[in-house]
Amino acid sequence: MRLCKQFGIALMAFFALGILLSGPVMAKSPKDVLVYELYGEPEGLDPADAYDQRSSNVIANIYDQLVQFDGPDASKIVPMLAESWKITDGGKTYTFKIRKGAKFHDGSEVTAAAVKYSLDRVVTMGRPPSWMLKMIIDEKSLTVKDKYTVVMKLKKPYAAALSILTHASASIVNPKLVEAHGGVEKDKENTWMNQNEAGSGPFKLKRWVPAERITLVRNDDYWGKKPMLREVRIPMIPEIGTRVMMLKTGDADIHDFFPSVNIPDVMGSDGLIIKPQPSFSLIAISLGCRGALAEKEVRQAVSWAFPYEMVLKYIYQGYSKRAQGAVPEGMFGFHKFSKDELYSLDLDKANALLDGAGWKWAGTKGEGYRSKNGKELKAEVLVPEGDENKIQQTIMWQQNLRKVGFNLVIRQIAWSIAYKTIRNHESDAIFSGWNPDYADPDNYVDAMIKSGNAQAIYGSSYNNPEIDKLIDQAKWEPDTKKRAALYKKIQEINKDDASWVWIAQNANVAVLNSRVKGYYFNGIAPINFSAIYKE
Amino acid sequence: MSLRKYLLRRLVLLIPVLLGVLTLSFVISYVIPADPVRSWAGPQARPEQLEVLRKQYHLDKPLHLQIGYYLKSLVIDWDLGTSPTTRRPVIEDLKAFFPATFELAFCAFVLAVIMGVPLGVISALKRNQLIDHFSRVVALFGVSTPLFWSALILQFIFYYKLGWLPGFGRSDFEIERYTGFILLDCLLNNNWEAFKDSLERLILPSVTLAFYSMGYLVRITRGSMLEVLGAEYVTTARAKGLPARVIYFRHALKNAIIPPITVLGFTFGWLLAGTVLLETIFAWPGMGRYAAGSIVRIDLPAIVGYTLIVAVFMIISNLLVDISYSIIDPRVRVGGKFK
Repeated sequence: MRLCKQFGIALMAFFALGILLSGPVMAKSPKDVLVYELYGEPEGLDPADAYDQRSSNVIANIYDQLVQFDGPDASKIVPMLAESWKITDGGKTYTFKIRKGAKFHDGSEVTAAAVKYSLDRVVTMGRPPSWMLKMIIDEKSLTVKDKYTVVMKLKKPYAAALSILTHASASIVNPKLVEAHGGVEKDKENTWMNQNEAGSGPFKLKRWVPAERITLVRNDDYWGKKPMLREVRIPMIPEIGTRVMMLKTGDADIHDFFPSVNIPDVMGSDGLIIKPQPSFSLIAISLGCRGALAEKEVRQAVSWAFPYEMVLKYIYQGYSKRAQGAVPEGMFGFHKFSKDELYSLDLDKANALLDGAGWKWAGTKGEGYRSKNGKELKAEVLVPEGDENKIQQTIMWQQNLRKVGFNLVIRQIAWSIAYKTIRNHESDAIFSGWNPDYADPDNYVDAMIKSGNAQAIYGSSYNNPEIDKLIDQAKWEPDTKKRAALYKKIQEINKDDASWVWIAQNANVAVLNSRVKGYYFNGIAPINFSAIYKE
Repeated sequence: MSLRKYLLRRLVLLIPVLLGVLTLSFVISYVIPADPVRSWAGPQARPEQLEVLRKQYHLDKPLHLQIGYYLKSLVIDWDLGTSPTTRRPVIEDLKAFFPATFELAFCAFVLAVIMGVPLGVISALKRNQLIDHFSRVVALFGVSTPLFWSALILQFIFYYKLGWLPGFGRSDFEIERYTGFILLDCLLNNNWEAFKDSLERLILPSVTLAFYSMGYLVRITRGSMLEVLGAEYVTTARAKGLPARVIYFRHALKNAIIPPITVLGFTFGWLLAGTVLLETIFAWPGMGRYAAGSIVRIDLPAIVGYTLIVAVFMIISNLLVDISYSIIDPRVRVGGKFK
């Protein structure tokens, strides 16, 4: 009896050990079906309404735009539905020749009228992404010259106009379908368009099961190069552990924007490729320029106390670059600072700046916090709740700041609450960043540095009239050389003002099944399924 | 009072309860110091577009007017509004997500009852014997293991390591969803392959969920059964020489089953509302995830819509429990007095 029991236990232990040591069971998804994992649902598929990465990834594959980036190159724009274009009138008038024979998914032809309809629609509806097109055009800007020619007269010449036209919101929609399903109403959403499609792109929407899966199928009548994949399945898997298991078992093929904390979970896995690619996303802390942070010297001092190298190496696993300012590396207008010019971890410099600004230690140097006129040297920073990655960075920063007598209070907060809190000036700084909407430095500096948006988006009180003027000037400057010089100046002034602690230019780490070929990342444009095939 | 009258009264009482729930969820959402519009439009939207959304959802109006607008569209158009984050009508969302959770909760419930009640009874009858110890250990594990932990472990072993069962989602097949209940839909599509796939996908989450609620059920059934077995009428029945089968099942169990039924009523409500972690791990597109997502994004129409539906189901499942008392135990008369 006893022996029997012991034998049973041994057998069970053996079995359990076997399970733990064995590899995953590999499934094989069909060769012409791609499974692209998403953590959550796209918000909607209406190009005029959706303003999130997940939606853009789907929209870009079922709709065409007038122009698009040349594969992974975010600095070159090539024809899409517009076969060719002419820019006249000092950069104010764009004349587009529309490709003949391009068809919407219902078989009707893509015409100049459809182009005007689509862009006007975005302006009229006024939904979240509409600000980009509204910046350059209004309802009177587009005219149809003939069936295949459309003329776009900009409000003002804008160097990045074509880049805006590559955005998912500038997709060309089928007017017939839209009119049949609710049409266009001012300031109103179109519920049908949010769930269905009216595109001409290389893929068609087959089905969207809420919170479960979106399925795309190849458009066999596509005017351009036909996709090699027959079907793209986009399951929504909220839990990272489940997504990792699906990658390892071969149930999923691609996971891009892979969370950096989880990279060790997939490292060295058979059949998986980790592909880090530089992106244009910036990670930075907005210093609200209030309270103690109202003083430039204090902002510079806290910038000298951030552990940049440690963070890049250990938190971003060495895949991301150091951010230098509001314009990311690889984009027009980027200014490379020398190593000495950039802020680095140097507590002596931080101490010297604070001493110079009159912030005195209460007792012995290095103990407690500094103060001035009876006010403690202190600020609060908001960090998104549950974002381990950012929380760790802030704690490291806090420890450095303590050494220079600065009391940094960390407040973890749900981000929907964070933005209101900071806009009401209830806090001093926010851990945030910027993802590009289109490929132009104006998209960054206008949002992050110019006083109006710095206040509206980040709740920052940063206000330097000189820099505001330069940003306006650079925005509308037609001469490329002059424009680059202006952006250089903006970055230099802002570095001195230290309204942001620039941390990282994030990498997009994609984890791919080794059978997946042809995947590339553009940095601005969403994923392109039609370039992908499986071996 | 007749059963019909009683039912009618309970259903009429629903209205003030729901009004209260509605007001409360509005007030709570209102006092949260957040800017819902910012969270709907994304961090990079401009103020002008935020204003458009604010107007559309009447957030520029005072609270009582917001409730007014909501009630108006609810009563007149039977419309729960449109969710600003999923951009679907809330009623569509609930129609899509409720069946998923209901299916999961129902399977877990049935499993828990089939396993839990007999195990509790046997455990009481064979008190302090091996089977009793076994059932107590099982119950202890069930109650004390966090749901997400057992979910992860089961998923890890049976999906990842052994590959016996699928570990995520409801179906791998592109079938027409008529009802939203996936097993039923597979049958309506006459697709047996899809039915097998969906059934397999249901196993891991429902077993995890059943295991958790079963533990509690075993404990309650066992305790209640032991108490009844010690009662004088059971001794009398034994003295009369009645066969054990009759004593246990006709006399004892009938009386012992009341507390487990009370628990069951709550359990079903809990299974419907408390599956968010499970749904997250198994990528199950249910109500729990919908509610959690709505709360994080301060999706007011979705929060209020979800709260109303859960309130209705809680009330109905409580009502069913009350009615089942009267069927099982003739001493309990719904709404009436002892005569």
